[in-house]
Amino acid sequence: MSCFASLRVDIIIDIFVRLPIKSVLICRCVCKDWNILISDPNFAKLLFTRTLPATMIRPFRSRIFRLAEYDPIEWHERRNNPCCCRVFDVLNHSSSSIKLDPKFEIPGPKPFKGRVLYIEVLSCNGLFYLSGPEYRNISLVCNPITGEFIRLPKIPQLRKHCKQIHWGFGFHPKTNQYKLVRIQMFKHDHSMVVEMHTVGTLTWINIEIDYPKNLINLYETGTYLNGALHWIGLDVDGNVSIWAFNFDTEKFQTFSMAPMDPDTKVIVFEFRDSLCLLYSNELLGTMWRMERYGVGESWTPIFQYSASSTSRLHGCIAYHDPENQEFRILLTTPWYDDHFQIVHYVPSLIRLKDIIIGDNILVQNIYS
Amino acid sequence: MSGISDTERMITLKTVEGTLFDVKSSIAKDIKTVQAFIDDSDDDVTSPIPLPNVFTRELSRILDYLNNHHRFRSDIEKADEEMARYDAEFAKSMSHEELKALILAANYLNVKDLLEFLNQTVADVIQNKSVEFVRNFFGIENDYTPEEEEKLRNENEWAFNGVEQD
Repeated sequence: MSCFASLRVDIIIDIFVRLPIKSVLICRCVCKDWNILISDPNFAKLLFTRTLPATMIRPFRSRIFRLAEYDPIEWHERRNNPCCCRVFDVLNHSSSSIKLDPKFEIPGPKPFKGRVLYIEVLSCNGLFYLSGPEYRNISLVCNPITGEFIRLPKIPQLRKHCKQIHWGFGFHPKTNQYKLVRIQMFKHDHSMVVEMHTVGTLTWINIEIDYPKNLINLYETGTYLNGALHWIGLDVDGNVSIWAFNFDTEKFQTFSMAPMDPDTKVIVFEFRDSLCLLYSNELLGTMWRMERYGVGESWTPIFQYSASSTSRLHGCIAYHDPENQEFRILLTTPWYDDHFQIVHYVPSLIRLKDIIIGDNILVQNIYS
Repeated sequence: MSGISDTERMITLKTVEGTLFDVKSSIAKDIKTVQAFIDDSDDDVTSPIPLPNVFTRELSRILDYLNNHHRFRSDIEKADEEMARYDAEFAKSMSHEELKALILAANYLNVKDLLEFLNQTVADVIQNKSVEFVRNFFGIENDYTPEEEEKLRNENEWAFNGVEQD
C-alpha cells in the first residue's frame, strides 16, 4: 500500500482536521513529513477553525486543568436529552461518557499541598488569561495545549473607593490582538474606570469612556463574542440587560434580555457563535439563544429542563447540541460549584509567537 | 423514476480490467474527472471513457454510493435519515484495505462528497489509536531515530494517555 502512504497532502490534511486534537498530536509522531505538516502555523490555524469548544475542569485543590472529552456515540443515543448532573458525576472516571486526561498545570509558585488555589481563568479564542491573588504574582496568557505562556506586565493598582472589579479577556478581530479589560466601579456616583491591556505590549492604558451613568452593577466576568465583551448589568431603575463593550468603538451598548421571571438566576455565555442565557431557579432551567446578534427580539428558547418533583435542579447541566455534537457543561451558579472550576475553551495548536503581536515577548513553556 | 430520467443520456466508463459501466449523465456530473473528459470532447462521447487508475470493485462501489445518494436527494422528506443509515452501513461494510483503495479511486475520479465522507471514515478509524496503529494503517515507515521519537512523545505526553493499541 505504498501509494496510500503518498496520498495527496490535501487529503491527509482533510483527515487531520476531522480528528480530535489528541489524535492530531499522536499523528505528529508517525513520521517526519507529518510532523512538519502539523507544525505548520497555517495548519494550526485551519485546525482551530474546525475544532469544537471543549471543557476544561480544575478541582480547586489542584494546579492541573484537565480537558474533558466526551463520547459522541453515547451522547448520540440520548439525542435531545440534556442531562442534569453534578460536576462530581462528570468527573467520575467510571462514567464512559467523559474521559479526562490531557492536562495543563498552572505555572508559578507551588501552593501548600492540598490548599485551595483560587485562580481566575478567562478563555478566548484558544488562549487562557490566568490571574491569581496578588501575592502570587500570577498574571499570564497561555495556550494550555502547547503549554506555552507569557507573563503580562504589572497590573495597575486599584483606585480608592473602588466597589467592584470586573475582568474580561477578548479579541479585536480588526487588529488580531488579544485584549484584557479591567473595569472598576465606584461607590457614590457609580462612575467607572476602564483599563485595557493589549497582549504583547508593555502597558495598561486608560480608556476614555463616556460611561453609562445609569449602570450601577455588573455581574461576573465578561463573555467574549463578535469583537465585544458582554456582561449582565443592572441599571438604577432595576432593569437587567446585557452590556457589551466593543473593542472597535471602545464603547458600551446594551441589548435587552429574554423575558425572565423574578428570582431567576442568570448566566450569559457564548455557544455556537451566539450569545446565550441560562435562566434557572430551583426547579427549572431554560437556555435561550440570541439568533441575531444584538437584536433583543431574537431571543429563542433552545431547551428547557425541569427537575423531578422530588429533587431540585442540580447546579450543573450538561447540554449536548444534537446538530453539531457540541457538548457543554453549564453551571446554574456562575463559574463554579464548591469544588471545581469549569472553563470553556477551543483547543488550539497555534503557537503564541504566531498570534501574539509585539516585540520582546518572552514565551515560556511549562513542559520545558 | 420519472420519464425524463429514463431517457437520460448514458455514458460508458471502462475500468482497468476492461469492465464497462453505463452511467446516467446526471450521475457522471458528480464524477469531476469524467465530467472534465466529457467537457473537453468536442463531439458527443459515444465510445467508453477509459479510467486507467480505477478498478472494477471500486468503481462499482462508487457508483452504488452515487446512485443511492441521488435517490435519497429526490425524496426530500426522508433524505437525511435514510442517507445517514446508508452511509453508516457503507462505512461498516468496508475493510481497511477496501477503504484505502476507495479513497485513492475517489481521489482520482474527484468525487468530492464521497471523498469527504471517506476521509471522515478514516478519521473515525484512527482517532484515539496509537502511533503504531496509524503507521500501519497508512503503510508509513517510521523515519525517526528512537531519540527523536522519544523527545516528540515526551513533548505531547498527555496525548498518549488512554490510547487504544488496536
